[in-house]
Amino acid sequence: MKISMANIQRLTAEIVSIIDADKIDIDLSFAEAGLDSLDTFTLFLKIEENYGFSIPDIDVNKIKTFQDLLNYSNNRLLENA
Amino acid sequence: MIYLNSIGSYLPENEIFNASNLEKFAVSEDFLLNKIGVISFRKKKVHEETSDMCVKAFLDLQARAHFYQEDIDCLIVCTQNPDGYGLPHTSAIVHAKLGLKQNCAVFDISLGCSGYVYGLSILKGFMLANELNNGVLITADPYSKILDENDKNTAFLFGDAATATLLTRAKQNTWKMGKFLFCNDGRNHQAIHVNGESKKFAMNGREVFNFAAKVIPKHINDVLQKNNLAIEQVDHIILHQGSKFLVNTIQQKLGIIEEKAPFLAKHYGNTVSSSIPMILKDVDPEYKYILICGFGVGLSWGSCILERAQ
Repeated sequence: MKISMANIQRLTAEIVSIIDADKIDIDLSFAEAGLDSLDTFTLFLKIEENYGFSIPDIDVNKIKTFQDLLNYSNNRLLENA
Repeated sequence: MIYLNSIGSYLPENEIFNASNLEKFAVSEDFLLNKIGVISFRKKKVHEETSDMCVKAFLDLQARAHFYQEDIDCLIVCTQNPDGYGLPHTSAIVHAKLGLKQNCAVFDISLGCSGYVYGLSILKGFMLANELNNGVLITADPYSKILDENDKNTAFLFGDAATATLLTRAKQNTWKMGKFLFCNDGRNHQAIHVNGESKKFAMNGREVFNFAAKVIPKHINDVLQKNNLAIEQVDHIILHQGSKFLVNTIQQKLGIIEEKAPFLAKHYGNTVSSSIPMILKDVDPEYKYILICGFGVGLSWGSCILERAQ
């Protein structure tokens, strides 16, 4: 299984309805896309619940952009495969 | 049978408005109103002790429920911020300040945000086991004693308050306590703790959020099932008022409207074990079933159903 940017955009739209999720640039940071810290926690939680792995606190600080999240998530899925 | 009769409360006069700290912590007004949800909170005077807050909540209860000191057979204080160093137990100091009778059982319990639900079950069981008629559960956990005013994670959230709940054998206009459900995950006890060196409160906000969002919705469904109730039959759900965001997240995961499990602590904040009784005291007496759910320090959580007894 591989996670796509479209998957992340869909989950983001569930959290922040005012954001046009389809247009989120993959290189944007979460803050630049309009997500506050609690929205970002929620996005991570949705990733964890939808794809069956946890994102430990020690890794959270490394994930600043949607691209970081995509790379991180797909690496974790590969590890767990 | 033992019933939940009345609730008294106490909020210190000193009101702190969070708007005055937005700049200090670089927090937007939108975030404060829609995510944290706490506009203001109360802070006790420096020399006001936990036992003083307990006494004021008790006196408010007494004014509402009309009983005498000698009627009280048991007094429990739920706190993790006791008078002094916790020895003697705060309930003993409250016993003296209120002039309660000698043959009154008195003890503290150490729990945080799940403490009210645990306390109800403890007091009910203790009264039944020892054939007591009237017991009072006091919650008073003034976090202003341990808060770090420079910690953005907690500075906007917590307020001081105390409540006192009377349990009696009299049934009229009371709440019958249904089946309880209690849980704990000690592996994550460090998520909410007091730092041994600084003596200041510390909370891992993401860990607490993940715990509450993952565990509490399922737990609520479990306690409903234990009581043979569907969520549609429950008129109101009182969640521990951790923050507006936390309450809204659980409510959305339960698939219910916001009015059924609202955040109502915007003028006094997260008051730890007092958060549920602060709402329960004003709840519509026409409701038939209420679900109360406390969760936090421990990590500990517990729920029960309250059924109106006419």
